[in-house]
Amino acid sequence: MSEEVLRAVDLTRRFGGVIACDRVSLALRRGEIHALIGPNGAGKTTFLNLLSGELAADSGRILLCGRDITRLPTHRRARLGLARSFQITSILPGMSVLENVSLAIQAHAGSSFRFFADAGRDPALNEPASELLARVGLRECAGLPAARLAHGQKRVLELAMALAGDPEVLLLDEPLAGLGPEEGRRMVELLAGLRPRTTMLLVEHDMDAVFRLADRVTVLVYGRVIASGDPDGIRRDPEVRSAYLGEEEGG
Amino acid sequence: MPRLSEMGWRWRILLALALLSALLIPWTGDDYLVKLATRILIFALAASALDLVLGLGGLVSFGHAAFLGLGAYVVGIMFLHDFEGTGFLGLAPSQDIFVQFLLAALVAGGFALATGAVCLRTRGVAFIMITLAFAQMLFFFFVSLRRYNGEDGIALWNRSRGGWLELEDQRTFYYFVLACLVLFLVFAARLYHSRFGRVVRGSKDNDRRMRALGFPTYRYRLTAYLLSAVVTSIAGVLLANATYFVGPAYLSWHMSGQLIVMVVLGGIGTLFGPVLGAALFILLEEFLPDVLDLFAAGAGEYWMLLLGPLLVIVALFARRGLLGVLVGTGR
Ligand SMILES: Nc1ncnc2c1ncn2[C@@H]1O[C@H](COP(=O)(O)OP(=O)(O)OP(=O)(O)O)[C@@H](O)[C@H]1O
Ligand SMILES: [Mg+2]
Repeated sequence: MSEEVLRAVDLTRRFGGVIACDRVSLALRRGEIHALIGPNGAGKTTFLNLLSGELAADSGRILLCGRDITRLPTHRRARLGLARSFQITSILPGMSVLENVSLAIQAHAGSSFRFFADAGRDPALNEPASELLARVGLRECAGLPAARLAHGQKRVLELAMALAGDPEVLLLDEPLAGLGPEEGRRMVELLAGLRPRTTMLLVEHDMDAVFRLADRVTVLVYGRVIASGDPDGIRRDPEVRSAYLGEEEGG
Repeated sequence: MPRLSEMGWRWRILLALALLSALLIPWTGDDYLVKLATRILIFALAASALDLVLGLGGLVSFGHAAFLGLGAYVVGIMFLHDFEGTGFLGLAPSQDIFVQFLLAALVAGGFALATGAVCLRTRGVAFIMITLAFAQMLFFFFVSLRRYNGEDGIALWNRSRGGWLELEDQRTFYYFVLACLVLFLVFAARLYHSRFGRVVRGSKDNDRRMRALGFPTYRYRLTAYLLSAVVTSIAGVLLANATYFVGPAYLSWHMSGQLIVMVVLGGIGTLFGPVLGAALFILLEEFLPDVLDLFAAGAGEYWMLLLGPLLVIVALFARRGLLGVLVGTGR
């Protein structure tokens, strides 16, 4: 259980004068749910973007299963097993729910430079896609245009897309954002159910969810890691309380 | 564009009618009508090829006339050298239409790869402007190219040769063009639902998501651009043969604009819609001036003024264009 799947070493990224990530280091052990928390603007999304390749790091290194991926483009990292969800839901609104997931499967199922065969009728894509939809509870919506789903369902759909191809690491940017209490509870159950097969880096503002799910927690403030460790230790850490948790309770 | 097996009765009737009338037109024996229909089919080919990037990829290419023109100039330049008995870059010129297809595909494909590699790094308005700029470069290149008569262009004395096909015969030529169009449409309909087609459509929908899923979308968009350019250049070869003429006007931005208008009129992203759009556009271009002249002498010149409002109406009320009106908007 202590094998490292993903390791970030001293990742740094500036935007003009702002240092959004300042020498952030973090390691994910296989099978764990690692929560990344911190106040608004702390640099959590930036850090995920550095890991997924949406943004280039100014300095630092990223290792996925021991392999240096620092210079690889987003799509290569995804093919190597780095999947993600976005803070603002990101699906393919013009396609059906099934097509959304089946395209995600397609990304991991050989070349897509195939011009003739009907992909929408390919059981090798549709069957795993249907299974995934069933797993997350969206089977009934398979034929609907994705744009017609409710917000909560869209977030679940995005999770299903990220799960296609059995990723090594799942980067989740506030999966509970905008969900009602009932939907939120179901999302937490869903994520808990992915353990221990999927290693997760979970960015989340909902502290109940974080402390229910996380095996370890890292706290980011102004682009810096101020604490990292098991949830109980983090909860008691005075620096964390004053920098973050205290604010949360006060506000 | 639905799969054949999923088409409703309106789709089926429309397809049957279109195919039937396309097959029967030469039997009217009306030479003028056959020529007009030939022109429609050629522009239908170019417009649905443009739809591969515009509709499927969401990339508004304002420079597709470049590919049309390159195809046409292949015919013109080959004709001229053959006529003079001179070589082209040390090679013997060929008037065989299949050789010319191949040459057009190579030249247009090369131009598409070189320019697409730059254009496709951008999106939206920048993409429109850069494609336009490249096409204009080519336009001015041919305007100033004395060797090939600059802006006067090249008049052809004969059509390309088609082996045992007697292309000089209007009816044979018409069926040849029809075969090219039908072949492409069948291919395009397959492409739409293929893995490749899905990736291109997905990249239009949400490129960021597609990259995060693991697709190098740039490569797919570039390939779509290349395919579209090659087919458009084939239409160019046919156009030169239909009009017995090649000139820089084929590469002008008016031409690029017309192709876009045809796609929008017919129905963006439907591949078949642009065929209807091409037909509507060319029929309007042909008959609207005469109709307007009936109301006021000289008014015919301004037929384009009516096109504007028509486009606005389509944009506002019929997002799937004429095709959407005819078969309904359900996918
Ligand atoms: N593309 C960008 N250009 C300029 N500045 C940016 C950019 N992205 C983020 N920033 C800045 O970097 C800092 C970190 O932002 P980031 O979005 O990573 O925070 P976050 O922890 O995800 O916040 P939130 O909880 O609100 O989502 C902020 O000061 C933000 O303004
Ligand atoms: Mg964020």
